[in-house]
Amino acid sequence: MTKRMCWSKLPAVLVVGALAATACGGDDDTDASSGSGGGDEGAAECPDGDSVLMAMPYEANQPAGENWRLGVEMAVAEVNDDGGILGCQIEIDPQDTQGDPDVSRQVVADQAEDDPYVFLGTVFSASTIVNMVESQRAEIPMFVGAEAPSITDRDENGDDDFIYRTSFGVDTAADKFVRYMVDQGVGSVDLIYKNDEFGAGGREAYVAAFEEAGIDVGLDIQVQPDQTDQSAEVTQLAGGDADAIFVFMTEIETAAFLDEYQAQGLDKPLYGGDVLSAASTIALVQPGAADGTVTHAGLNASAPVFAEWKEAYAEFHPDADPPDHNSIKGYTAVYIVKEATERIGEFDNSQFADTLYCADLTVEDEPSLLLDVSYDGNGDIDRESYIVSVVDGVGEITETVPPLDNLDERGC
Amino acid sequence: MSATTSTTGVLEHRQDTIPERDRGHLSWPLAVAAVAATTLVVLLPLGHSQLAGIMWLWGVALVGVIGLNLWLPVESWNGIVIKWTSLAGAVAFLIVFPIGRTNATLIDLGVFVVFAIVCIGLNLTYGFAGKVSLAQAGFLGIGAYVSVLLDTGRDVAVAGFEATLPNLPFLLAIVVAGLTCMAFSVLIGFPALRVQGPWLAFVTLAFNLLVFLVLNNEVGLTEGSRGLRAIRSDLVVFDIDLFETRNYYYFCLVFLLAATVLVWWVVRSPWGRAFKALRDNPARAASLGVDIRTYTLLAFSIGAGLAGVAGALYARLIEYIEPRAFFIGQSFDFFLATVIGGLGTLVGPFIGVSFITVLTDRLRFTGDYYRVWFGLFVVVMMLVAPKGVAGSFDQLRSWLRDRRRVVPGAAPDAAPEVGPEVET
Amino acid sequence: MARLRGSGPPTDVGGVRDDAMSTFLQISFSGLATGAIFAIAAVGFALLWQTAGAINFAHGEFIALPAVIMLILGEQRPTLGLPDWVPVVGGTAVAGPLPEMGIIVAFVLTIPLAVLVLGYVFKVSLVDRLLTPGGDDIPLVIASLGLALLIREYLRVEFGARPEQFPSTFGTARWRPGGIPISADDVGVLAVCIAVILALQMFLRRTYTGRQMEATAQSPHTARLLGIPVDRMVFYTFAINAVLVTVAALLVAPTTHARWDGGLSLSLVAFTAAIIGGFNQVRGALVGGFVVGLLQNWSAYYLSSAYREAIPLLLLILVILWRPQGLFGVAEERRV
Repeated sequence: MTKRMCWSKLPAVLVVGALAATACGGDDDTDASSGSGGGDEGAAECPDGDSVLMAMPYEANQPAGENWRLGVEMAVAEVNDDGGILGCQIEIDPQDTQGDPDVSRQVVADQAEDDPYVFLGTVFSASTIVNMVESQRAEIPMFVGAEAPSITDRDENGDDDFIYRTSFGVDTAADKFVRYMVDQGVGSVDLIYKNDEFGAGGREAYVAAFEEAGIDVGLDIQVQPDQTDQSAEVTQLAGGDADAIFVFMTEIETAAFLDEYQAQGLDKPLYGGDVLSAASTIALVQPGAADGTVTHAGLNASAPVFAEWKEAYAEFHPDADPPDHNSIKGYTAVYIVKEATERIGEFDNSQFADTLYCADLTVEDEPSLLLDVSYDGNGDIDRESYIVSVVDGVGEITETVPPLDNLDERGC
Repeated sequence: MSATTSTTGVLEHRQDTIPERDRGHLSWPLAVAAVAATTLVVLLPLGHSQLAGIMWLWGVALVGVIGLNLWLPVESWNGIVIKWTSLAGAVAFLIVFPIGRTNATLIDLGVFVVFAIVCIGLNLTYGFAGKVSLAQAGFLGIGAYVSVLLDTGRDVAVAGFEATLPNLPFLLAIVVAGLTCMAFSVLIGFPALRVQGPWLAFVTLAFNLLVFLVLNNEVGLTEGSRGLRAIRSDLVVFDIDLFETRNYYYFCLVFLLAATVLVWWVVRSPWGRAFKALRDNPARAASLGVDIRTYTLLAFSIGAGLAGVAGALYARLIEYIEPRAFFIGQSFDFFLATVIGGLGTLVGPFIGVSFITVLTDRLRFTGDYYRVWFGLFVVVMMLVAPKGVAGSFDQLRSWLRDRRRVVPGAAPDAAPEVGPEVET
Repeated sequence: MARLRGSGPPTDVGGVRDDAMSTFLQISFSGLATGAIFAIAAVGFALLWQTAGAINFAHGEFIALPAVIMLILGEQRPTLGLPDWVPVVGGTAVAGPLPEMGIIVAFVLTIPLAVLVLGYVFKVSLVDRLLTPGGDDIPLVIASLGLALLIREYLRVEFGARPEQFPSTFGTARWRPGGIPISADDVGVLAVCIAVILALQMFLRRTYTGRQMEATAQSPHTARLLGIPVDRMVFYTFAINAVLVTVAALLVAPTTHARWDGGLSLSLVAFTAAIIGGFNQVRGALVGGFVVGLLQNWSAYYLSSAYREAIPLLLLILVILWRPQGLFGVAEERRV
């Protein structure tokens, strides 16, 4: 008697099978002939008929991922209007990773089966750390917006030659910004950061840089994701005796912090990661609360060099928010791929490492790169960057920081 | 809500009225047809062919297998032959299907397998023993972290204590992960002695949140939100190189089959009867001498232990763990998968997990809205089949049987007996 | 060099920082203001659970949705846009940008919408079908989980992933009596929240309809025998809940912003506050909200910011185990 109920459900097991089968049926069409390495007949050969496929795994549910997508879409439309890369139209395969590392890994693994030319994404570091394993396995170059130092760390990643940043790793940014802070006479800082992968990663990189530069770290306070009442934390900061306060959080927490900081009437200098002075943060705070904050920005849409581009962006995406650094990252990623491909002369993505490592890509070669950029030997970049300060609710570039120019120390 | 809300009624099925001895004649043609249909179902998706004709044939064979299962009385010889054939087919499917498939499919299927183990555990705790648990992702996380910490030989520091953790063999780490979860489950097993239903749901939910906070904050132990890498590259068990995703998938599959057999065995054992007595009528169970405390804790610890084992497998499958993967959203997913699949049935978790893994993923072709459709799907499923897919199967079967029984003119039995009668 | 904040050493900021009492008052007041937000989020959840037996895991999304709607109606936010189907439903007249009408007008317009969709449609299409007397409450829990996902993802796809600032009803004035920062928004939210919850309590206890609703909550069967229109009373519960979530959206969104993923954390504080305060008393939500808000701030300041969320959760577990009627609830037998 006892067996009856269990086994009688077996048909349903087969239903599961049915689902899985229909689900995976699409795997079969991976046609070996569409391999990207097959184009030895000449430069005009497109990998996929008359187009080239680029996979875009991105965080559709996060502002960062959404802006990345808008930037990529704009660049792709421009390139395609202009005749494409080597005469091939770009085709984008956007897939949502939900900002979730294991989903992103499945997405990238799935996309790798279609043998895309490159991956454009992801922006979240926790996702990238996981899904770059798949791009490495498939030997497909991946251009990421992620900034965690470990992504290009060869000791941790088993020599990944397929990962390229589109902006500074946070450790590079920290080196540059801390130099500036020392110049400003900052001798000690109190830290406040968001307790998630973004904030904790940023804090770690900056603490290391502070230590190297001889800046003392006093209070080390965290806030929780989504925490909008930060009175207890700001009150603790008020009791600190450091020269300045260093803030590393995302928009919502930064906005709550700035409001509380203003409400308590504190007036120490505020330094921070580029979110602190970003337009998306200023949009959320009380009038004046963000004024006076100083950040280092690898890419900042308010820099004069982006002014023209910003107008084009507003024209292309009339309904979208103003672009931020992630939009620029996504936009330039496409043009870096275009420039690299044109240098290679054919669609051979195995030559990206040879072409990009230790190479300079300049605006003279490709105006839409917007800024000169150099790759080191690990996929990290070097270029000039900005010090941004908020004046009357608008981020203004107060200083341009030259490139580190230390590629020879970084794998070249 | 009264504190004694039980799930009585959720899982009551008609008693099968066919006497044990009278199993009728075995129809060989039917059996051969069943085997043939099952073979088709299993083997056809294997081909690297998208031919519509073959997929149609496959669909027909599938409908045939399901139809035969629904149509034949489960206790007749024919029914027995067909259900064992189907079982073998289902197992064969999971074994055979990945052959020739790529890495991506293997990871997708691997996640399916691992989550299925979690839901099998939850199904035992909730489906059979009636104890709501919204902490399953928490146990998954505890298992994942314990296993990774123990088999990589890390230095850790918690609350001023420093230690170097041992570097255990992977299999041993899996066992320890399971046992650790069983130990923790006692923590929420005790509340389950006092409260029921929604109250228990909120206690377990709070427990899961606390687990998340500890994983996220005890940076010295868990690396916090940076997460831990758990690359399989050095993983060799019984001379099998588990770095190869295919090997690792089959490794996980062994655990899934073991978990299924374990729960199947538990459910038919005296324990299982005690669980169901506990679920259907705790007061009566107590008066009949069921040790409520022991069995409640047992129900929790088996469910949590399975989640812990699954966590160890999950960590090595994704090769990276971070606290957010074990947040309550994941617990909600496990819970709704188990309920939608069909509570208190062995196959329910399989169906449910296919919804939260395969279905959500395959809805992507609908574009941006794919998660919206999944939410809608969950709502509609609850409206049309509140007992889950497997529960609806049973309703359909008894409806079919009633119809057939009326035809010969034999009077159907009186009202179906509803009570704490144990049935499996 | 741009204007920096005063770069001198922070010797004397306000002059009251060393005063432990002042610090305590400051974080306590802030905790109360946040607690009021928790309370207003919790009260609807508690009401539905208490009087209709419906446990709604989509409660946070029920608050996030009207916030976005109000923003669309009340302020021109080109970045929010309108769903594609709006012009189709309303004809071409609606296709253009909506007039800017201010958040209060939008609030008034949103209430009937909320009563219709979050009250009536929710009750008729889901709760009535899934919540049978004496039956299992889990199907509704699952369905509300699905509903939460549906609303959340719909908001994201339709209105974008970025948080939008939501204007405060009470303005942005601020004072610092005795060094304690107080904003008009804090005071306004506290006052409205207390007023709404006490009024609701009065309504349930003192008015005829309120008593009928209470009777229905305690025993629908007996209520029906007594001639109370049970179904209408249950609908009133859902209508009141719809109004409450709209009010909550108006009060909460200036702090949490209007965004697609604000629902889950709101749901969590709502459960916690409602259970700690005692879900069978509407005013329990008020107490629970204050307790959670204060505990979070105290534990963040005096213990550890890392576990500020853990302390209320521990209290929640203790309350469920030893005082399931809530810290300030009244023990009574209820069967819905």
